[in-house]
Amino acid sequence: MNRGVAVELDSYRLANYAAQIPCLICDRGNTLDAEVCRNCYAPMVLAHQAQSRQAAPLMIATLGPSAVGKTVYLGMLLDMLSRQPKELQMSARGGFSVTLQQNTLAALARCEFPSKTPSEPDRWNWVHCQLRSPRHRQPVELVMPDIAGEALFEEVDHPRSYQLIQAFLERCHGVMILIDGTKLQSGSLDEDYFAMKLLSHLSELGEEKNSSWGSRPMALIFSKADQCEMCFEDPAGYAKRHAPGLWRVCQQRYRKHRFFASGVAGACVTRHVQGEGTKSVPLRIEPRGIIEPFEWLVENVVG
Amino acid sequence: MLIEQAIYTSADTDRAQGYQLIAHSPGLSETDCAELTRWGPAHDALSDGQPEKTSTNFHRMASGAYAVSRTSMAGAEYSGRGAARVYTQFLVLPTEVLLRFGNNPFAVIRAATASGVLRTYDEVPESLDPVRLSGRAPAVYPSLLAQLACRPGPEAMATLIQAALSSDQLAVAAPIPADTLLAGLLNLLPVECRTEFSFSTGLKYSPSRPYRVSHLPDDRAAWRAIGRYGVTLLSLDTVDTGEEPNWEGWAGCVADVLKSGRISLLATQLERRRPTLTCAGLADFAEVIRALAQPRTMQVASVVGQDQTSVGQNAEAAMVAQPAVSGADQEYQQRADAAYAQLPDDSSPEPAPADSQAVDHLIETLAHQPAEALDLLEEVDDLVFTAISGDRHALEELQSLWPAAVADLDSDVIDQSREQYLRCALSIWEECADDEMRSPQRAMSAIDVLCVLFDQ
Repeated sequence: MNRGVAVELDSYRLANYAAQIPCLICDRGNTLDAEVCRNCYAPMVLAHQAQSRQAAPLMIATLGPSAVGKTVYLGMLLDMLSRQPKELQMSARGGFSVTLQQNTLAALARCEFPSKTPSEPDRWNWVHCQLRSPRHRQPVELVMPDIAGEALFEEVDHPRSYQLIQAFLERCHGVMILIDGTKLQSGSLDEDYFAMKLLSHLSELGEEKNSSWGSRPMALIFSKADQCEMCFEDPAGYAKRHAPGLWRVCQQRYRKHRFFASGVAGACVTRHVQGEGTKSVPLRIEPRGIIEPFEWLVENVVG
Repeated sequence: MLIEQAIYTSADTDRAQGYQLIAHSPGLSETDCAELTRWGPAHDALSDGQPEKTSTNFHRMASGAYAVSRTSMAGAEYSGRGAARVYTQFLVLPTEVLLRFGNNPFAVIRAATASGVLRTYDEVPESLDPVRLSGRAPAVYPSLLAQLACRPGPEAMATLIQAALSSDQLAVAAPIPADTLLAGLLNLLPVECRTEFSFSTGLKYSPSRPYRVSHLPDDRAAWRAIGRYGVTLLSLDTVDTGEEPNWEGWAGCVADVLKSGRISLLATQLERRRPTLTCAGLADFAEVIRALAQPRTMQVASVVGQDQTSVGQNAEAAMVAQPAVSGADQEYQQRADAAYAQLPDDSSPEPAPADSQAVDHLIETLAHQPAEALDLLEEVDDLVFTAISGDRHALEELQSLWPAAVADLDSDVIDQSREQYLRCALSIWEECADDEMRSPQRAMSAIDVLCVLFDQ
């Protein structure tokens, strides 16, 4: 006589779809096998991975206008953290989290800057990693996207254009804002205005007093500082002199902020390629001031 | 009626850096601009990175207007990262203007290109002026249908139609260019149903640009990722013509018509306006076409025998068919390649069999012309009808294009095209100058066009 066994009906598999998985970024329900959130287009793998941990991951945003160097900075930062023998160490959670640093370093090795980040949210690179440091007993889970500058400023100009950016900025615990140091040095006020617009936008997010952006840590980083050495000497003084609007907004509205300077390429040249226009070429990789802003930010977020 | 326009590309402007709506005409609202920006294709959005690659895109905007755009590569991106700049020009058309072009965005693109409206600016002006697009387009391009009946074939086109009608989002691969395929899809739908199909012929799939029909890239490895977004994938490369598939409704009707070669019948029916027709009513409309496709004696027998008033001409009458173009315009809207199809006429709803055969024969001849020749012929047609409408720019374009057409096309095709253009011009002349001279400008435009075509 055969023993009775329980066999799941094929049709019962559809019952799995009744349970929805909330997106880690916007909280909207998605089906079990969704690859990106149907509302904000964030990768659903983040939500699946976060379910395996009790504590919600920290979220840190890297913001700035197009071509300011966000991808280069993030890629270099992740690469350095993943190779550091001591202090702050990073280990990626999932292969997708390594793509950004791999692409960045591969491009720099070819004496090129990484290609532009597409504006479509479903094509952004995301990093989900664990941070370990001697100062913290438990590893810290961290989520960081590489947001396209155009999309960010479209969201600033027309709030709710990009659900992903809005939801992420409302949730994130700290922010790194990149400002092009070379443009400020050349006397352009565009960077000052862009940063002021962004800070003004952030200050309007978060309705409750204790979740407002005024109390969240903010690292303001002058990028491409290898081309304007003054930034390294006194970043705060540089901000006061070259970006007075930004300086004032920070003093008035953001309690936890600090200015930094960073550079990845030791030297750059511009060459004209027939049919391709002017091309910027990094001659060598000489990272400076990459880890310090991030370290300060994590210290202020984690405590 | 004016058409608003906007340009979306990468630049370093006072407002922002990178991809943005760098210029637009004043009639576009802030909301329109924000919407166009969200749909605007930015870096690496063209699915094939070749410099000559372009994409024609179409979607309905929240305002109710329609955005027709063309995306191409235009030099290098401003930031010095060596990437190509993706350049998109949007034309925002009111419903009436799109209808004038048979709700066919490809006809709009051709007319806009011919009149110089669609172009790549080296230095984009800070603001753009709204534009006028004169001329109009026929509802159907029979030569295109004949071409598609040869390749990819009736089975593939019927499969495409069935998949498009039943999918929220469809991505398709085919052995012919995506522009030709999607133009064919629109041509095989009644004018009233075409606006339900937003599409892109060359952009990478993105859920933030939810076109209803898009194309699949050559790289098959990317198909799986697109499928995971819930998009129906269709490869027409692998449609099996051996088995007898069971197409339903409109798709089955199209398959029958393309197989039988009676394209003029379908074209004549699609030329008629049916304001209440939607995709949901296509199955009933298919029955009308099927009934008309039967020999006349059989139609009578079937109507009498089945006593069904919804079949054949009775059914057609029930659908309140109206000519696509009312009044005198109807006479001269026929294109050279469609010219030989019997024009819809209230008094004679069906073309005479002998005329139809001649038309179908000509269409078949055109179908065997190389694709470049057909493109050239379509371009000439567009210019002729736009020039007849009084567009001087189109007339100048025609002056330079016509000698090339004469050199490239078969003399038979040229002669018959001339004959049709002459007939069309004469009808305008008669209409304008019967008892009293009513529209001398239009009559003169028609004569000017004839002078070009007959080398005078």
